Amino acid sequence: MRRGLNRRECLAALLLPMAPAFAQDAGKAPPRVAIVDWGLTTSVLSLGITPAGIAEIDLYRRWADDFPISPDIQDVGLRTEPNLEVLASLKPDLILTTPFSENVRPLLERIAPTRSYATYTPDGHPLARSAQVLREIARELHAEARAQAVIVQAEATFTAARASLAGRKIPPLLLAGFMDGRHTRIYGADSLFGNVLDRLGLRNAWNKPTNFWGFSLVGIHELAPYAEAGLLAIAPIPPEAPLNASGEGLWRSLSFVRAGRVGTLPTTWAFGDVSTAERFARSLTKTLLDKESLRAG
Amino acid sequence: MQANSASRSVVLAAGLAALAVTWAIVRLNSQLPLHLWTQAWLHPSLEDAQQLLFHYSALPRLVTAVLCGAALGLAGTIFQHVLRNPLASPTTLGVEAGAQLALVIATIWAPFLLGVGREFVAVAGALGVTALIFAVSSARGFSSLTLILAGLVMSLFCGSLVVALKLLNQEYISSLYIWGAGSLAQQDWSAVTYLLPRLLGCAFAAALLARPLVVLTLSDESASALGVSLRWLRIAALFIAVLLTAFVTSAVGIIGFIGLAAPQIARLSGARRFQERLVVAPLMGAGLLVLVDQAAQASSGSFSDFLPTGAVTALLGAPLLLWLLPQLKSSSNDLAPGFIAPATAYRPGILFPLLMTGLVAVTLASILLGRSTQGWSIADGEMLAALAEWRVPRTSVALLGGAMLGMAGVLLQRLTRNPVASPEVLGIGTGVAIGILLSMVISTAPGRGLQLAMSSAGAFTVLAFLLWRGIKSRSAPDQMLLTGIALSAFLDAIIVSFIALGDPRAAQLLAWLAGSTYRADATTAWMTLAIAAPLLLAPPFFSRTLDILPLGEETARELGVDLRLARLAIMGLTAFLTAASVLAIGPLTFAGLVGPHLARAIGLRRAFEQLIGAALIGAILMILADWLGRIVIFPFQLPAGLVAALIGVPYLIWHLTRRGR
Repeated sequence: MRRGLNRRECLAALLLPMAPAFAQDAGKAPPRVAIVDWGLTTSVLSLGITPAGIAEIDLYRRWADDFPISPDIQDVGLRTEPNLEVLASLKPDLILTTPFSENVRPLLERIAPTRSYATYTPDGHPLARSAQVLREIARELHAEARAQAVIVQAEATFTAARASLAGRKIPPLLLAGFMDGRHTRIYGADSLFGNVLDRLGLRNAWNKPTNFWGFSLVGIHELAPYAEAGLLAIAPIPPEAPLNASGEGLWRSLSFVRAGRVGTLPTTWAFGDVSTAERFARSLTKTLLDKESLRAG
Repeated sequence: MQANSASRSVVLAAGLAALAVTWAIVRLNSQLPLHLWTQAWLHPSLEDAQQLLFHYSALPRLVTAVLCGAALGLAGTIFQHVLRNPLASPTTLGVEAGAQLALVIATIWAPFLLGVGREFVAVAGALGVTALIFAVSSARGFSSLTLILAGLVMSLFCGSLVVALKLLNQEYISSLYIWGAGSLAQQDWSAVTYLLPRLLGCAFAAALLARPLVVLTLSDESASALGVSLRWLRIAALFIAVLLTAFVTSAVGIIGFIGLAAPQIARLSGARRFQERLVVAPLMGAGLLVLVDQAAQASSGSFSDFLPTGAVTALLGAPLLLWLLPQLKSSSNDLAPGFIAPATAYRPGILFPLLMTGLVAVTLASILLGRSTQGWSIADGEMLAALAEWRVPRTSVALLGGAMLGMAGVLLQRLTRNPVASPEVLGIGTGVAIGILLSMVISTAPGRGLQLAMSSAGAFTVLAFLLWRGIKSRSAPDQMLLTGIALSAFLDAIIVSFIALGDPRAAQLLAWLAGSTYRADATTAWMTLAIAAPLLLAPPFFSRTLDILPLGEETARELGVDLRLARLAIMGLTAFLTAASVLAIGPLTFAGLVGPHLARAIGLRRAFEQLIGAALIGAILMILADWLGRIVIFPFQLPAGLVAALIGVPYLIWHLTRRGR
């Protein structure tokens, strides 16, 4: 964990003359914080703060994996129903949650002041929202300068990625999270990933309505009309996904599959935050630049 | 007459199939003009997306729907005939639930198995659960009520386990949600090539057995006289039916109710003989499933996510089952005598102090003994003061909820004269859940008052429906059970549709449905006490009526009991008890089945004694379940209702086998 953050700090320090702000931050010890959402977990870790407790650590590693989790951090159980006795025993100064578990909030409030942050709101701008949320969290944790650095660095990554991709022929993209052999999620413009595509000047091929979380759950056959698109599958990819299948089928006949405009992206949590988006932008750019065939729109 | 009615049913089935195929053709034609069909079918042009879709998606989907519908219709026909039970079907026997549980377990702990073959996992699960159900019911000579009860509780058990595993592994399970809801979407011919030879093999075997199977309509003696080994014949036929279901379920997921509806419609439309139904029911099944699937496809454009076909069959199938129930001749109340006889009888004078001691012991254990980040601990002093804040409300709510359920179970069993009645089995818990769902639709932030009103109304509606139905059909217990099955399936379908609509409230609903004491705090504990106290004091006043009710209507009338008034009062009380407990501890209400049973089994036979005993046992069970849910997978927690189901079902299964011997 330290290594990643050091690099982050270095970059931030290079990008902006922020030294006075840092000094001011260091003056106050950050409060002990417990977090029951993965996106907010990533936010707090991106600020270089080690939380006292977070939810479902094993699954966070497998599905979100934005930052390594130090063994000192206590697992507080389920995101939907965190273990209250454990939370209370951590004696946190602050608990972070989302409106998603609003009905648990009165219980959390009795342990410590609880702040609820929504990155997914009906307005469909999770990236912008998560930057705002990061700033708000940083204010609570006395790490506003770090938050600014993280956001600035993410912006810089987006700008650099946009520049490196500019002028290349990149087809409109389908961002897919395969569920099984026959179904996939497709992330729309109002998802975190969709927002990143926008920032990179890329086109999202998906134009159908999406749900509250910014994706559509569809059968593979729904992808057939997108002949000109490229598809990027976000890990983890289940073993029976058509991507791994060898037999003849609709998937193999789809024109973007035949043309080889298919790539994979590392594990990324679709409901993450600014750092998740930045990491996504980097892996997306790398994949698009490395893979010749993806660009031949 | 026979020939006429048989041909009428053939005509109806053919008409249905023709209608389904016509609709499919019309829809296909709008996607790809007719003159391109041959080309698209044989050599689809890679440049034409519509031809590709026709070849790899629409056509295999249609064929899959035909195959699955026919297979389920055939399986249902065999089940119903062999078990001599008009209500046996893959859904009612728990075959699909078993397959689903196996898949969930494999997805979480052995994902490599899914790469090898999702199908084998599902078939193994279905066979395992069915074997268990048959083993249990063979002890009672495959009596229809035992089979349905065993199937129902096994489905509930598998369902509870699936929910528990889903709670602990939410991200893995999204794909299983699709599978559990039954999606016919295809992207190649693999499902067809998988299903076709297997289903044909099963159909061929069924055809071979058709003639010998006819003798099953005779009584066992006369059939044995004909020299047919009935036992092996039955087992072989059932094996074929289970295989058919398992193949379908493993390929496309749970497609509920086709296996029940198709043979039923075939029978009601005039196919009275088994051989006729063997032909008509698969035709019906295929027609029905194609129709439903076309409807699901046609309407899915208006949803942000797709609408799984299995959810639609459940939405349509549950009301169909409810409508069919009164038209069926019910089997006898064959479970009653064995179930009621107590194993051992102790004097209540000894039992009550024992139960009270037990209650105090588990209450103390639940508050004092627990796990923390430092390991096991017995709380005292300052630590107790800190932990009591969390543990006392949970324990009190579990205690009150369990006691209310225990009493509600006694009331239900005596009211319906049905020894297996319980809020869970009869679908009253489900009624409450639908009530809460409605309160969430009415108001974005439903208050507790609205929730209580809506949930009581839900419980009361289901109970009134059951009794009305029960009175009409002379209290047939299997019909009551099936009403419960239909309602649960209906609720599941509603929830799946909620999720398909992308409604963010679905997550909230799912969390609540798992049922838990988690949200209890001092305020809710006091409120539960305020509601529970009068409700718990009321039933003992009905003791005399409750003693008389199981004796039958005649006796009750002779003893001067106003049946209508008594029934209405007890119904109301049961509804309130169930609703209040469901609000407190969630919709999994197995304490209401186990409490009354255990109370009777240890010798508390009079209504008053049984009420008190069941309340105490229910309370003990729920406290124990809450405590286990907190410690077993620390720091993660399982909802108490779920744990109670995981304890209660094995008890019930054990009880069923034991009484049979």
